[in-house]
Amino acid sequence: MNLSILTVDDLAYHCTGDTQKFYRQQSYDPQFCFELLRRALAEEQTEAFSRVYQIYHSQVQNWVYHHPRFIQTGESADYFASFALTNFYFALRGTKFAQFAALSQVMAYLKLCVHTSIAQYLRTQSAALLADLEEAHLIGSNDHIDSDMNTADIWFRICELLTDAKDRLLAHIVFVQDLKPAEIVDRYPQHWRTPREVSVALQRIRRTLRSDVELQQWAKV
Amino acid sequence: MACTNPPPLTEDEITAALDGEAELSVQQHLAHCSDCTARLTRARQLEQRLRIKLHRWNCPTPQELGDYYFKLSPREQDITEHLKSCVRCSDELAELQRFWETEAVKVLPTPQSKRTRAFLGEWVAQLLPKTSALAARGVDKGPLVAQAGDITIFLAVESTAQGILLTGQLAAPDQQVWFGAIVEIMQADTLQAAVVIDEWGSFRQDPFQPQPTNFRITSIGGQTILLKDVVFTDL
Repeated sequence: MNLSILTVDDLAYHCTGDTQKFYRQQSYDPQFCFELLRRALAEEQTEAFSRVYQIYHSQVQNWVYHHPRFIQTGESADYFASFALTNFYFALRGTKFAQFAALSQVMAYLKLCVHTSIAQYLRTQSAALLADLEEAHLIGSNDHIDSDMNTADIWFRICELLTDAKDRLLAHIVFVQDLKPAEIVDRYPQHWRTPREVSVALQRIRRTLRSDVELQQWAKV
Repeated sequence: MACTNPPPLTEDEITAALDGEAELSVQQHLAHCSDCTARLTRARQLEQRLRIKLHRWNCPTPQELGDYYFKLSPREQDITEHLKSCVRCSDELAELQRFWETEAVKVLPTPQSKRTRAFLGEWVAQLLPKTSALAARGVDKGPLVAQAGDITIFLAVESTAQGILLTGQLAAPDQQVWFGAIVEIMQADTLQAAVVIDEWGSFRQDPFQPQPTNFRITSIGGQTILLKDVVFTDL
């Protein structure tokens, strides 16, 4: 069939029927859904995307419910469904869609976007908790960091200060990955055998970092 | 300023105090010595600022990790290298693997209470009254204007035989944040349409019926704007 002569409404009609067949585990023809997705993403046709959204929103929501960390977010599934569809559109619009040759691949990517939305949310949440902690300690203070030193500069400075590779690894684990001593022993047993060992090594690192004038100037302390 | 009760605390004692593990003598020293207390405050601020600044700073984004998992990443080698030393990213990848193995069956969702979005940001937009300038010029059908913080949404409404035709424009200080955002049109808790905001902040909605309508705009970063219960027949 020449799909190019079909309107978006025609494609959406067939795609809705085929999607229902898929759910009922009946044989279905994926070409209508794929063409609808191609117009929505590769050609960035708003009307087609609107239909994609309507057809797949409930499926996306179900994936959200099945995500192992969804329950930790405290958010609604509906929120993550919208977030995932936004990420999906942004990731595949235009020429990026050409990487996909079949409906099953596009659907797999949509499912991936459910995971990335939840993972992104949880990352932002943990960063916000750290920032809240900082704010709590700075109540009444007028200190604001306004420095030319970007994050990479700060990390390179830390690497300059910590000449031992194991110390650099521990600094990364603590400051970048935010792991606690017990977790560090659990995940890096080849380097540290007890939480006490971690604490001792960390004490040396923290002393070195706190005494550095460049870092003090950056942090305005 | 100097320590009022020499000798001053050592750096290790300051570290112990930061971790809440200081001995009683150190706690007593801090209670009476403003100099050592100031040192403790500076140490806490520096470490806390480092943690905030460096938190996951060189980790690939979840989307990049997903692309890596799908073998679509242009940074495959970098990410493989990063995964060797980052347990957080390794855990996220393992979670993706577990999620991937769950069946994609359709099940009825269980109801869940909705929490106010505090971390990624949710704004409730308010419709603004029509300006007196428009009225003075005899213009009674100017666009609707809604405001959410420093974000302004203009909604031009046209009544057609098929229903209400809507053209929107979102203006924000950080306009790029809203590029690719999805605009959902809900009526009676049912999704009527969804469109995407283009790089100029505009969107155009297919005709829909003039009933109380909720708008929700969700950005690529997960921020949302809600505009509730707009009735276009009232315009």
